[in-house]
Amino acid sequence: MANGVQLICWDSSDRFGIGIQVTSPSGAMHSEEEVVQLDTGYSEEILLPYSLFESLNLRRWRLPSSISPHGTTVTGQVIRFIESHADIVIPKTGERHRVIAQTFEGNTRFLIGRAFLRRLKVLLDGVDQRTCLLPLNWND
Amino acid sequence: MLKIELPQKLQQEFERAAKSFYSTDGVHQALIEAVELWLFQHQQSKVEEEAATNDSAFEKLALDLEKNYAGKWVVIAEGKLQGTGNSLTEVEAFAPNAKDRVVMLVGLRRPKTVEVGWQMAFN
Repeated sequence: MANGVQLICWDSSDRFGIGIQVTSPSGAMHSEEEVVQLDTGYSEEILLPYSLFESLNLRRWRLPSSISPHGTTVTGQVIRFIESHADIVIPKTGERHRVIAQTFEGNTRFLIGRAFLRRLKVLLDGVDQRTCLLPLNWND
Repeated sequence: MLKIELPQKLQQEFERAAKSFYSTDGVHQALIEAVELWLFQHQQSKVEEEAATNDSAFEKLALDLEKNYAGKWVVIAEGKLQGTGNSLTEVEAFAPNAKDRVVMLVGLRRPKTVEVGWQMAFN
């Protein structure tokens, strides 16, 4: 509780992140809450490790390749994304968000991007080394 | 029990590598991993073939879908349109044995490019 506002927080000693679980639309669930890094340099909703994408059978919810976007890394390599429908659950709040999840072959990164952050109010508390969610109706 | 005879040179090289990598029971462990890897790769290539078939079917159907199913959820699997529905839940059961399905809301537009920031790279 800070100034009467209920904060929901995760320790973020190194990187800022929030605790989520990913599920497929049919309910297959990522086993436990994982603190996933927030990356404001990534424009989409969520990037999943390729192994997680496969283990959740998200290919059964795949978008056609022809409409899926590509990205270019700082080294000039082109990434062809594989996309599918998925749900992000925030166990601490009970929220469930339907998203378009992305991955690419061999990817091991797990990132939350700007498109998903637009659904939340997030406090990056560097002093106390934590990342917190604020209530959506909160205004300073 | 499965018994096979490997070409002598291959067997010698395999035994040498497996014993140097694992401290005990190396050949047994390495054989299990080799079979697991082969099965995984075989499965992956089948799924990729399935995906290519579904993508190709989507391309052929795209205009028809836009014309007749705008705003509907559609499922393409096994190279053909499996059905339509008003929600993801309604289309969940289509093609229950397919490893790959194209599932989309007709009319959905995606950005052409994604900003990937500095973190993403090929691993």
